[in-house]
Amino acid sequence: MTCVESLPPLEDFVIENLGAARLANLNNQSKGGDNNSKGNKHETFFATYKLAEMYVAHPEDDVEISSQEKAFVDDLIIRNFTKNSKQNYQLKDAKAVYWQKSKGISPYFRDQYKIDVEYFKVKDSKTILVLAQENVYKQRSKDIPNSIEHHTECVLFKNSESANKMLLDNQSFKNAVEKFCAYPKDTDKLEIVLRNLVGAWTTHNKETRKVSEFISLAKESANPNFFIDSNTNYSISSELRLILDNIDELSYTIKNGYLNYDIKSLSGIVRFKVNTPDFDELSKAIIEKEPKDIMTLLGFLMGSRG
Amino acid sequence: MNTYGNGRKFNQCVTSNVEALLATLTDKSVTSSVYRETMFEIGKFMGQELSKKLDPNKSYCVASTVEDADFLSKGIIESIKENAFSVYLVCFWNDRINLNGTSVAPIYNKYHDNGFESSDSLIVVKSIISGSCVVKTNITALIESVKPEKIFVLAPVMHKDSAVKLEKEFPIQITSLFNYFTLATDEHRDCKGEVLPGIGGSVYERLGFSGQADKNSYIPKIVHERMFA
Repeated sequence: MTCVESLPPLEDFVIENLGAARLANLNNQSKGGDNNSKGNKHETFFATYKLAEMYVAHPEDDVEISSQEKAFVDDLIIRNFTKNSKQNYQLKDAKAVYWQKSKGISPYFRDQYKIDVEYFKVKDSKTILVLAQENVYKQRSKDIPNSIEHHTECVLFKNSESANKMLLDNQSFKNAVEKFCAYPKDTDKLEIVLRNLVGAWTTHNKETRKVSEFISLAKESANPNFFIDSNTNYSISSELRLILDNIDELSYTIKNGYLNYDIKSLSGIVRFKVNTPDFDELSKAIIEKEPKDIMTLLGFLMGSRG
Repeated sequence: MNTYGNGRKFNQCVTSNVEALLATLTDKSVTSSVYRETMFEIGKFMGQELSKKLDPNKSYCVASTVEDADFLSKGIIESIKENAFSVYLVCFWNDRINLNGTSVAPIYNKYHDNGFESSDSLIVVKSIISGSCVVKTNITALIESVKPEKIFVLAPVMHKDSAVKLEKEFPIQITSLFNYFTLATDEHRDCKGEVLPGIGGSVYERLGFSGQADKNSYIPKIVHERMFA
């Protein structure tokens, strides 16, 4: 794929190859968009889903993601420079979505493909209609026009009023977020990881950035941080270990940098990672007090502040 | 429901005695020990009323926050235990955190009675439901391991919009299981968003905790007894 900076203006290509009317359409397309709350949520959740999915599927690839490009299919654009591929997504949470009727979207998909292949020199371009409503999805999947069929597909991605509901309702979405979470079975922790990803996207989606940069931004701003930590080199002092080992029935483990503990049917997590000054302070207090019973120890572990 | 000038509507089951108990909660001059005892008494009453809807052949899981466990939840458990095949307790220690302008309530500690997964229905208890963030988190945690026939949501006081907020957090197959039981529904909030008259301010302080950190280092007696039974 050719870098955008080295190309002649897109407007010149459109006016020469598609005509003045289509350039006007392109300019209007960039100003438009579904700015209502329902549409924004749909776009935000879908972008977050694709961010997570792309990062996990192609961790080594050079992938950019954008929602602000001048394009005919412009709600979300993902460019994989390593594979010279491009995916253009149009999102619709509406009942009236048509390919060819008045205001039909087929010409937009057709021209976007042409721009991708002839202007950007993309080897593999896809135009994808993302629908929130299942009946609309079924109908539009069946009647994709022949002229755009070879580069177009429909995807069902239901909208949600909340992050929690999205995680409960959409297993694929949940699976994508789970890949980032140190506690993938705990929806309360997953929701926080999801909100961190959403926060990075909504704060920076006016900029075209690498997928990996969005993920880094989400991790950097995470507090509490339930992202999987690549550092596996966490340990506690031998003095603290000795105290914990001497408490009957207590079991503990360091997971993702956090001290996790279980005693009978009570389980918990110390709120800060073991390599932090806060944990050092907690550790020092426990060693000084040298608790011999579980209740005194739990007073320290449970009361820890992040 | 009867409506009063302060924007409060009482449930029809509320007697003058129960109205007096709710008034005690909003009386800021009462001590934390009186407040705790009042919550326990309200719990007993709510448990008695709830018992009318319970099946004595079924098992129930009472899900409580740590701050409510020894008071409101204990009162409910004492009243329903004779009207159920078994009553399990699950207790959550949630942190309330503002994340990008939204409240979240991650669970840092959790206690559960052995066998709670076999419960037929959930009874989710909270002293007041306002934004519904904690209740949402705890119901979500439970439905990962329990497949309930019903989810009873119990709170002495609820804000009028809290049920709608809670239901936005779940798919319809979950919200269709919800059965709400509250004694009073309030419609007013102060400038900080606190429900008025509510339960007389922050429940942590009213119960005698110095704040969130303090309540989160507390192990309720009801949990201690069950852990070491």
